[in-house]
Amino acid sequence: MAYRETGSVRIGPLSLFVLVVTLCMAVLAVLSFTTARASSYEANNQRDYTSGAYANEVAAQEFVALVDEQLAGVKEAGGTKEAAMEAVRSVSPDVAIIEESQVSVAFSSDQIRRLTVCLQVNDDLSYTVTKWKTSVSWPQVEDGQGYWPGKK
Amino acid sequence: MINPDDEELLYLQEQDQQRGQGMLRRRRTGMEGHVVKRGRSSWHGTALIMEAVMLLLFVTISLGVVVSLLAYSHSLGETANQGAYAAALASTGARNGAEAFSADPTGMEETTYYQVEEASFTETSEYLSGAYVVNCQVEPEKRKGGVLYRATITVSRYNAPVYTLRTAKYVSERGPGHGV
Repeated sequence: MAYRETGSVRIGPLSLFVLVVTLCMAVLAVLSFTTARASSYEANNQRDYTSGAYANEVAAQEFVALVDEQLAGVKEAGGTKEAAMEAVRSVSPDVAIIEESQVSVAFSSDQIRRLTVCLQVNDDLSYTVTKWKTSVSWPQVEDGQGYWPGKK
Repeated sequence: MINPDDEELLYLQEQDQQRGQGMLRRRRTGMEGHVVKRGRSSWHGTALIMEAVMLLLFVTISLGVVVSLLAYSHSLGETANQGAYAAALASTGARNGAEAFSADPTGMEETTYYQVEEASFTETSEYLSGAYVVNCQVEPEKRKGGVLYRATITVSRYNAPVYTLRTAKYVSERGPGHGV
């Protein structure tokens, strides 16, 4: 009986099994990596959000301290409410909106998070906080870019 | 004229010759077959070893890459979780966090210890390994109308700082009705 000459190495069932297992593990590893990157992206967003929100808080508190300082100074000197408003205007940032006895300032550490503060200057040259509101304006997200756009 | 006995003898000799040649032919064929069989067997053995070595090499490299990727993913996920927990503790989660500071800047505890159980924080002992340590440093700054308190809240784990948050709170001297 003649032998059949094949001349090629055929893949065995064990090799095929190992190949399939390796492929499955590679897919799992890629999925795991993608999930971890997404978690990292979300965590960084959370940290940035928290830091930004409290940076606004610090700026607003410093502004309130400045306003109170000016009001206390004018009251000590026996000044009028108009003089007090002028003093408040001098320490207010350019973006402040001053109408009669109301001062409104929006603080934003970035273009997303915003803290809007409104102070009412009273007749006794004290102040009352009438608004202390945090708001978020998310940038427009293009289609296909959800929570994690796939870049760091 | 051939003797019948001689004829029989010749026939037997011819038969012997034919048998001998046949045996020789068979032996030769067998030997050739043996040579061919041994050559094929040797080639198959080499191919098997080569295949096994290549398979082993492939499996080793693949497993190395996959395990490295899994380990890196685990580390990345762990760091992300730690950062998220630290940010949550520094702002609202801890007893000496930013929100507690905002409510009462003068009555802040300096250091607290927390552990995370099923994504919720529980206060724990300072001796627990892996506990989140929340440290709050408050610096009062005297102003003309009151006091501006500045707080630096640091969350650390395994003696390494994970997250730092800065906040402030102004308290007017003219009563609780003023200020924020």
